[in-house]
Amino acid sequence: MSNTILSVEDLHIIFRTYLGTVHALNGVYLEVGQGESVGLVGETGCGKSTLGLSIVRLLDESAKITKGRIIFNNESILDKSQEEMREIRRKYISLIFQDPTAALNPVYKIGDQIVEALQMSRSLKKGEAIEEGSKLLSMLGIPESKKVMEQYPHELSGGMRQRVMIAIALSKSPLLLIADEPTSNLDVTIQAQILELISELRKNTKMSLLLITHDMGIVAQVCEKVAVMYAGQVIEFGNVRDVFKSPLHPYTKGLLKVANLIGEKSRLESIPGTIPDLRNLPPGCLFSPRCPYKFSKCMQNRPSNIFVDKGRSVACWLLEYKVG
Amino acid sequence: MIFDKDSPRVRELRLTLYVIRKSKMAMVSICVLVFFFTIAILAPVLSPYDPTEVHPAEVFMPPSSKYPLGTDYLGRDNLSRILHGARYSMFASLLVVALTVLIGMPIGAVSGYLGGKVDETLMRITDVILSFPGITLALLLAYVMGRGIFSAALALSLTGWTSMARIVRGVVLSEKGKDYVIAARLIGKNDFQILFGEIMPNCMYPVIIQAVMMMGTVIISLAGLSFIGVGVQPPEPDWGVIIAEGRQYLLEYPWLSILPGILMITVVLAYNLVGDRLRDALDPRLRGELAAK
Repeated sequence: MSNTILSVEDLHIIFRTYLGTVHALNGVYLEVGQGESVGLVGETGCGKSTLGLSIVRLLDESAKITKGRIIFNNESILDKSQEEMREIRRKYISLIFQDPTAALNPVYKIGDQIVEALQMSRSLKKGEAIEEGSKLLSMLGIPESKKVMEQYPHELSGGMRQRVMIAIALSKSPLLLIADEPTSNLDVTIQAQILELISELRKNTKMSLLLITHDMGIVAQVCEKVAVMYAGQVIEFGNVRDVFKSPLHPYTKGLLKVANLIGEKSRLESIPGTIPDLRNLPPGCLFSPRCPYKFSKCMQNRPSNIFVDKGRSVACWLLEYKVG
Repeated sequence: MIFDKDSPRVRELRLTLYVIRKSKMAMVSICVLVFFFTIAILAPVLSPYDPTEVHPAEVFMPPSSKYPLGTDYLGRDNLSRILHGARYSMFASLLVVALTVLIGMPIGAVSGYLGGKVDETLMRITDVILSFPGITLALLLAYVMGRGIFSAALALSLTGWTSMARIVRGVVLSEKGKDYVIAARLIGKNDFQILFGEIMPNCMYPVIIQAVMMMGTVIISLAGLSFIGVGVQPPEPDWGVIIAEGRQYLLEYPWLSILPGILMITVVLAYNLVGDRLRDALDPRLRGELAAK
């Protein structure tokens, strides 16, 4: 991709807790091109959501960015003032949450919340905003949008609420949409509808998408590129087809096997071992304790992202020799 | 906003009222309160005499057709004094609670929302004020501003807002971590808009309940301040003043002190019972259960 909309370089984030310092992100590299859709996959607690929130700079106060850069639209996010950041959130980046129930304010009508979002990003009169909002809702497949706008969040179903959240996210016509497990709380049929909707919208609007999920199937269905995260690192990044066809990192191989997307379909498999304690990281490669191919170097040095070829990178010492 | 009979807000309110209506105790209490407010408003009309009018020839009269509740040591009509006394108790307590909400709510909200040093500072100030007995402050204010109902009300407001601030802070703390707050940031809202536009509307139930529960204690405290002489000043008739004046003759003429005391207990009890029921009725989980009963 020639135009990069978002690039994350060597991002380190720690959380200070009373139990010690948690190393949530340990050198993340990520690139999202204009109009591209990138899937961010990984196990629970690997730092997917932390990465998502750090892009809009809405992390908890206990979080601290110790190193790295986030470049959005050719500007460094981490150097922005609060006011400039508000401007970016207002106009350019949207985020959809996992739980649409919590993300809508329970005391306001759906319509009021959409109208407010529209008015925050564009200078619309109230009447225009109401029209626009109802159009947006119908576009997202909500029947009788005018009626829905008069309802309160608790009166809608989960799928409907998520549609409303997407409508609010789209109201500013963002350059980048970060969707943090947008379908995890929905049942399978609604899940498919919402995903279809998101990919449809993306194709029509030139918006970039960063889809955070733990479901490899969703990535295969919606995304062009995939970034696999493990213990706060993107350990493999590349085109979905390449990565799924020939995974290079042992963890990606394991993940795909578990997801039953490659290899013979057999009993439920799992990757032996658990993710490392993020308060107490191993000195070398973070995956080394679970890796069947580890050798001495893996225990001493942590691999950074090695570029295999254009648009494909892997953080694994095994590749160093293959690439040369 | 157009009034919509079927809007969920109205439906919710109806359900709340329904739950309150189902409780006989709460309904009786509300009637009691309405009754006392009516008395307070209509006191000048209902009273047979001016409450400060002295009848030197007719001191310590027992209840009779001329003086339905008798007279006190200056021959003032007891009924008129009690009726007028209701005005102080009923309205001054409203003023105090209103001030409490007005001071305590924003302080608690800002404290909980901003956290950190601001929170620390504001909460330590509330701690200091909490350890400060209201009576001491009232005495101080009475010294500075002169005695009277306003000094007393102000003193109670200046000490009473702390409990309100703490409650609001607690609710704001639990609300500010919710996703809708992040969602509001994501559409570019600033802190002020988020705190007062998004979070505070979600914190109103505890504030309402606390306000009603406070009414009772405030009435008692106000009467207490009048009793010790820094609140309402004689010859003005306040229940606290009446009780204080009557206590010297408690053994000979007990009705002088006992009746206003009973009235005060009735009002305070009524407030507490309404507050209790209100808390149940505003609780979304209990409400459904109670409505179904």
